[in-house]
Amino acid sequence: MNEGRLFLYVSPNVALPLFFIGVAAIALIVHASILLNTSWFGSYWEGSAAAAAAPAAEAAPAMEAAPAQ
Amino acid sequence: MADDTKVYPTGLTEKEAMEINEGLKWGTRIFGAIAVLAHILAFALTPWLQ
Repeated sequence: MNEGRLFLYVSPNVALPLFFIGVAAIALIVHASILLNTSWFGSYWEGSAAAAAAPAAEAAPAMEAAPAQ
Repeated sequence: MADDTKVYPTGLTEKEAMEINEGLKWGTRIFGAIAVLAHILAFALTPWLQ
């Protein structure tokens, strides 16, 4: 359990951004690959167009009415 | 054990380096837990792996 000694030789100002960039890059690449290679992933992210439209239409008048009261 | 007053090339003592590592480990655990939860939901709600 001596991995923490890394920071004795590599500045945390360098190591931590590299680590976070690496994690973010892997996550983005994996999700982009799935998005580009399946048909259902984009649909899942988009949600149902019909279900998304209806609540938005109902919510809009309520949002407008709320400040007036 | 290591001398707590010894300052290494990055300007940290061993104790400080271990403290940073502990923070990183906890951050990784919390990130991992959220990611696992998200993947359980994705598995349940999408055709992923089904």
